[in-house]
Amino acid sequence: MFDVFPPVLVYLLGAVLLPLLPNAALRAGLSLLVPVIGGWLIWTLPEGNHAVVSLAGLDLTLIRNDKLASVFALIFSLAAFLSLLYAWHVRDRVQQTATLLYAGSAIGAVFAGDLISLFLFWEGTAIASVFLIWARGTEGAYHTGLRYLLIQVTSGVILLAGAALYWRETGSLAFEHMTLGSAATWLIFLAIGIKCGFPLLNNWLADAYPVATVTGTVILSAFTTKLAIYALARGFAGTELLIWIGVGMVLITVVQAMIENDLRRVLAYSLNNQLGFMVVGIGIGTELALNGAASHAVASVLYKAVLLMAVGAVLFRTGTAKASDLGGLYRTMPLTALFALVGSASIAAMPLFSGFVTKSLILSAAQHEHHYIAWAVLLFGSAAAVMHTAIRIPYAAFFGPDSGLRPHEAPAHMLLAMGLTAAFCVAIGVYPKALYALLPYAVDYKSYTTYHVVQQLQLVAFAALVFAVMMRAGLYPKSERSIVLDTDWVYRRLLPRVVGALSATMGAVWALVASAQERWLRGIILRLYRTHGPASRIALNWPTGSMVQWVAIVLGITLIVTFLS
Amino acid sequence: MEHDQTDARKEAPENQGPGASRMIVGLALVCAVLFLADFAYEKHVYVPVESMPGFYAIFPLVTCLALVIVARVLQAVLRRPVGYYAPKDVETEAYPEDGLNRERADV
Repeated sequence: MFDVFPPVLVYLLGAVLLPLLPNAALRAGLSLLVPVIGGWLIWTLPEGNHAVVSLAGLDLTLIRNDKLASVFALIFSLAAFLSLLYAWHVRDRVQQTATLLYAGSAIGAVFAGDLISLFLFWEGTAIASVFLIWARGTEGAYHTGLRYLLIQVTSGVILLAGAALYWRETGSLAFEHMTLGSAATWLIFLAIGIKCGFPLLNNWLADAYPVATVTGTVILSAFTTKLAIYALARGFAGTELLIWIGVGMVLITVVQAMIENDLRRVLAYSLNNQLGFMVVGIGIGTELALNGAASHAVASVLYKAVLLMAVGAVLFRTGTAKASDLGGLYRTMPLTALFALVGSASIAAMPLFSGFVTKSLILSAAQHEHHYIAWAVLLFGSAAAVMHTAIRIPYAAFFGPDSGLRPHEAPAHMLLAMGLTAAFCVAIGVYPKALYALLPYAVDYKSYTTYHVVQQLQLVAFAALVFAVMMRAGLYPKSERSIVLDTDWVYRRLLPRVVGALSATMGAVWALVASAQERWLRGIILRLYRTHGPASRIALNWPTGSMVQWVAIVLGITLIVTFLS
Repeated sequence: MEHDQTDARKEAPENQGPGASRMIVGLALVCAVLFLADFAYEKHVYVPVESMPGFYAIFPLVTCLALVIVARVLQAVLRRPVGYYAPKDVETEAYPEDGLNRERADV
């Protein structure tokens, strides 16, 4: 049927087969095998368009393989493998199946050559992923999942509307580079923007990701948002508006990441923050910038994964991921702490770690194209990331004031997953050429110049100094048992209150009108009763036999009518 | 399970102890060395402001300080009790035990 075997089918087959296996270890083994086979298929996939199927008169291109698609598909395969290894202990068939369907959909979407197959896989990621949130099994998780699903499905519906309009406009459904202008392209842009966490469209991310299970959050962090980054790079590279949107993403998430208490939510904000870097890169749109966006997506999948794995392991052993309840865990979880530090060094873009060789492509591109404001904001974002993630996460969980908690080190499979992920973070930093070779364009860029190393060390050291001094002085925002409002307050609190107030007012007005009407009718009836009722003045003149008289008249008329007819 | 944690925190405020002071002094020394390193080599700058000595030291210093202040102000404005959105939120719920594997280390 197909000229090549679409990698997504491996995931679908795996997802069908997995629930049938009775043994938990077998299921976990199969779930690990799927990304390996899928990854090998992607690695050997020939370039160009393949697996074209006709559906209702439309030609759907299931595989459009080029370097932009393959780099994202490869990192998705790796992320699926690492997070499923981390989830080796999970016995829940629903989570295992959902993970395969989710990763498969994301890979399918990356290879989709037309807007309809993109839409199908786009919704696939939405529906599969919500089960990782619901799997927590509490009432709060149920409500959060519903909010998440509503927003994700809305994004898909907007994408479908955009695709339909695009088809009517151009007669083509091919997912290629577009220029913003028509309603169709704006709708597609908006649909991607929701999944990408554009400013004010981003609140679902920090709302839902930290609510998933220990392993679910690690899985969620890899796919949806990076798929959106891919779609932006494919469809809207070089759209200048994106530079400002990316700048907005960096700025709007930075404070929340600083003051949030739930460490997994801190990482969700930090993830959103890093997406801003990639969006700026896509907006700049030069080869260097797009390489930067793609490579930073790869690096960020890995370091976000290792950080979320470490915090997840803490949650797994202690039952909490709140900064206010944690601290000093390095004593009993030294390896987890070490891996978290590797993730931290990577997001801080320390030399020899992954962020150093990827973030700099975007910053350099911004300089080369004279986008100085964007450059300055990204530089600020880099320094801030040192504080809100790179130092705060290890400080709050593993070092810092002792919480008295003495949890056991993470289980072996978690350590292995963290160790492998951390090893990838270091490998990319030490030998960036391997990653650069996978990027969409040829890379002619040297990360390890004296200037770049020194400036980055300065940036990290001084940001760390500010953190340390402010923390010492008690001026750094304290981790307290509280929540921090975000823009989702509008639809979680404000709108329900406004609608509630409106309906209460409407109800009151309606009740007032109804009671006034009732009083009016009652008045009429009472007045009639008073004038025409049995005790009224008119009733005084009623002859007693008037009833009998009228009955006789009616009977007489009936008699006449009967005779005549 | 560990109810003694708040007490432990009061007894050992490690971010106030001598260890923390030594760390800050060490960090400050590293910063000073890195700042001086700027004078030791030739820069290849794209943006004029980069040629300022120690730009990559002063920039994070100023912006991070500003960020800490802004964050403190916004924290005061945006902070709410954990039960604010309850029950449509997981903040007040304990993580279900069947998804955890609590184990105490032998120390």
